[in-house]
Amino acid sequence: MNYIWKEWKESVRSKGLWLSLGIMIIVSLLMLSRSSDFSLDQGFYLLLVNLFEGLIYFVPILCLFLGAFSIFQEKEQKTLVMLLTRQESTLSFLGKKSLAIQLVLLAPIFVWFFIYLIPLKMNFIVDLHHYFLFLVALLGFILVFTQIGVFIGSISTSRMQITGIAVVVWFYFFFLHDFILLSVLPTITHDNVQLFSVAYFLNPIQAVRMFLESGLGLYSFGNMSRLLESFMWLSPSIFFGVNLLFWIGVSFALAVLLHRKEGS
Amino acid sequence: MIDVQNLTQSYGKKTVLNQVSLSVNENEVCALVGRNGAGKSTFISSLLGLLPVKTGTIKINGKERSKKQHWENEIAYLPEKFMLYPSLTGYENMLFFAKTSQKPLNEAKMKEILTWVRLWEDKDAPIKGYSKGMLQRLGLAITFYQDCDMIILDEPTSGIDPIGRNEIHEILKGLTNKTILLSSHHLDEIKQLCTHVAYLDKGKITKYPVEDFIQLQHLGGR
Repeated sequence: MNYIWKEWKESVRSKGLWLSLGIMIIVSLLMLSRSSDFSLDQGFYLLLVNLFEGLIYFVPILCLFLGAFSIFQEKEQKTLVMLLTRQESTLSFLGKKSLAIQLVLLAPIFVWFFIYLIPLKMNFIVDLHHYFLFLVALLGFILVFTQIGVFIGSISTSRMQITGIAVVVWFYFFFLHDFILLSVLPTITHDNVQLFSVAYFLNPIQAVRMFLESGLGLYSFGNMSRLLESFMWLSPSIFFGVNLLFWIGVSFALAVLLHRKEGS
Repeated sequence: MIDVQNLTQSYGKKTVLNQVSLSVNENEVCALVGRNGAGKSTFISSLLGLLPVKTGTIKINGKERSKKQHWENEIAYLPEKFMLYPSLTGYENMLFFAKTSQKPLNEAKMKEILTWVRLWEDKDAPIKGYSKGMLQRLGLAITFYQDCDMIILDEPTSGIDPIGRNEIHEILKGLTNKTILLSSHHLDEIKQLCTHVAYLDKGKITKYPVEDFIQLQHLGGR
């Protein structure tokens, strides 16, 4: 609780959180204004998909930077060393700090998208279940990339390192991962398609996209080929859940194991 | 009491501390002196358990370092050039660190210490507006709140103007029944505050009574 209180006070008095939230608010309002011509019943779904596609590009890089710099500041300000020579171990520090960063980031976003329901209600027929799925997808996505950001902050010893690693991670998930999978696509058979599927859904962007789009009913899994059936051997929500747990767990474990105390 | 025996620390092939031994007895104020890069920070980091010790032993009040959980209640540490949390107020900074302790929060003690370091009036101002001297005094207040018998201060007056330095000296002189290891480059500070000097050079430590060290300085021996 102490860390959450401190993180909240620090965040509300600095620019990072408000800048990120401001961008999200502007993007979601712009999307809404552009969607006002859509029909009353279908418009809601189109808006959600467009909004998600709009957010998916910059939310990861924002979360990577917020998570990483939040940890790095503790090194720069020497508060990390002060804490580690008290009651904290690296594990407990990173655990409490991760929880605090995640809560402080997620709470205002959650509140905004709760308020966002008001103009949505005024323009479209809102399905609350589907809106909830959208929120789960977005918040899950934020969780994963913020935790990867914490990992980057934990292993970095300079701000330049953070910038470099964050851009590489973002580039990997957006472009490189798909390129690598595309290059092995001709070799995919019925025997190895499950392995391919695991690699494909290891990318949080693909896992969350499939979760949301199938949840909104954009995909039908009724008439799939046998190959596609094997590819979708788990439901999208399980792929999403496992992906979430995998990246949060791996990022946290690596942040603890490869932690560097020093930071200039 | 701090007891270090045959401590060796290396970075790659470079040996920074070579079979170093040092004892700081109860209620001694010992200055850790050495040129830049002599290994003062490495020595302090080893003491605090921030660096793994491969060769040698470190005992704090007779306990070896493996019992780290006991150490945290026995050594308070203030690093060099710390910044704390600039957007929080002085009081909020102190409160955060006070709450990290397993001991129950004592706000009366916080007030007493903040008054002692002359920051009670400025406690509600964000510390990004504090001068270097004020920030250092806040750091000392946070360290003193821990109420440990042993205190390690890494260059507590580094970069502070003479008036600010004097204020810190006065605060440190007011400490009683504390064993202090203080890293410093200032001879006048050492003269005023310390009872002993641990001189670190070429990976070795030699301990002197402060008067002997000052005399050696005058003779050009150090």
